[in-house]
Amino acid sequence: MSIADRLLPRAREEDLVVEALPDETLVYDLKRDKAHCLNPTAALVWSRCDGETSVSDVASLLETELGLPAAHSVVWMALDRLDRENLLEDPVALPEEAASYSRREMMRTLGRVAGLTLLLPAVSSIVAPLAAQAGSCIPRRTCRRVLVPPNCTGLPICENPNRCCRRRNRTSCRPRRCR
Amino acid sequence: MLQAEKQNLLSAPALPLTFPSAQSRGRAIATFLAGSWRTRPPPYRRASIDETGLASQLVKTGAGGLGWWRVRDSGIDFPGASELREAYRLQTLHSGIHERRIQEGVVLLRAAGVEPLLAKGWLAAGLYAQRGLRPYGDIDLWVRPDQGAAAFEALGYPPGQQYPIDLHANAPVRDRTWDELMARSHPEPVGDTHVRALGAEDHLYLLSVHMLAHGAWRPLWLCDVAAALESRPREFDWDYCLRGGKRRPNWLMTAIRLASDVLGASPPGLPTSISNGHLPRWLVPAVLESWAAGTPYMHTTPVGLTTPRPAALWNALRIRWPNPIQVTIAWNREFDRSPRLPVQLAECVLRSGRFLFGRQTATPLG
Repeated sequence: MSIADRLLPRAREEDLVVEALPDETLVYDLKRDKAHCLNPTAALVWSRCDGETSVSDVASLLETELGLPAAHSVVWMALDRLDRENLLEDPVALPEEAASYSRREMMRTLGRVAGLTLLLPAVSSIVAPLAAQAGSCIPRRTCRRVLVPPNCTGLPICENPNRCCRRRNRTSCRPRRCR
Repeated sequence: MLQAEKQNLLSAPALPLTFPSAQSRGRAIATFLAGSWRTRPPPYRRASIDETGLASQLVKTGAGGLGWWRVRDSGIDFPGASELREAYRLQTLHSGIHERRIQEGVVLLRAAGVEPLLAKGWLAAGLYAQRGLRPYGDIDLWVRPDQGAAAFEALGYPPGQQYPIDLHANAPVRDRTWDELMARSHPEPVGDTHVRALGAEDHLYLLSVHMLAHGAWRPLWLCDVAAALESRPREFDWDYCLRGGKRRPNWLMTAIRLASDVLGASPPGLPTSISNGHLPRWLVPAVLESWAAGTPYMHTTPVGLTTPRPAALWNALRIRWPNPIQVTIAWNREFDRSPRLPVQLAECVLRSGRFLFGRQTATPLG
């Protein structure tokens, strides 16, 4: 029995937010505050990592569903990418031949069939958003307490001239007309 | 003098004087975002607008996802398309994260015997073709005024530390009591649970006034109004929506006409008081200029921390010259043809006084 038949990879489920879009799957790792984008091949492999399906079975599935040649290598490559981004429950020890199979070599192999290189598994990171995207404003007291002056890391500071806020105690705040 | 000339003089632009280049920049944003909130946005055709840097500006003001939605199927090699797509992806993920957080927060509030009311961010995102099109930094929840202390305690103080929840212990809409708002609210599905959400009429008003109160500087907020208008339910009660304080009809008309005139929102069945309404001439240029500027004074370095050089101080003051839309709401005025200059000056004096005497703490307008 080869390692591909024995290995039953399991996708991580905890502390992840997953949003499946028509042409990609987005994953947010709450533990590491990292966002990833999985292309359809990587997403398909990841979705089959249920701890019961072997690498060989996933490869057969890829061959059937996507018509990919060299599907074993593609699955290993996907597992490697997913593992690097901590999206698998346990680390995957790649077999020697798979470990040495680079993306470039894979592209050369698949490139013989036009368009198939697009199906190579890809897990890319999404760049962090600008703080200014969020919210309309934050109370100045929050800015002073939580964020770094002088500009609250880009977040707006509330300035409502009609209503001031007098803190009554630690838990509430009584709006009143500014004098 | 002819009546028309008199009216033109009266509707003189609000200071700062209108800048054609800024307006054309704002117009480019408006052209680009027109209809972008719809499930099928109108096909984007390369217009005679300057697209340079447009993507960055959209992302900066929270309209990056909408930008991507508009160009994704156009087949046009739009500069900065990848930036827009990244924004869309992140916003989609944040929406999923917020869904979790709302559920967790609501469970805690309900355990403390508090039933919250949902509005703005999450609810506004639901008006769009996809939630990921509309970003929001925090989750706006309102609770009964007498349950504020219990709610703050349940979520932990200060709010926003453990949960990104902006908790308000008041009625979110002026002229309405908490009980009225709750009676017209509806259950909104959030993940596995349901949360009471502001009724469509009250939400439209809240979105409109929120946009105006912040000087309409984010294009996204006008898209909110447009999306709320076009997705309003069949039983939408205009009488109830327009009934209330003296300014309510004027402010609503202003926001709706802006959505229609600037972004091309085409909501059928508007009451005649709105469809026949006219915007003062200074208003659209003011909106377009604030879009072009992209950053309101609230985002800039506080004056107190500005280098005490005359040029820097002058620049700080120039940036802080009151937005005519913002002061209209703040001073409880109508959007009419009368010049904004007196109100802007008064606002300037008030702000300076507050700055000098150290009264700077304020709460956000809901």
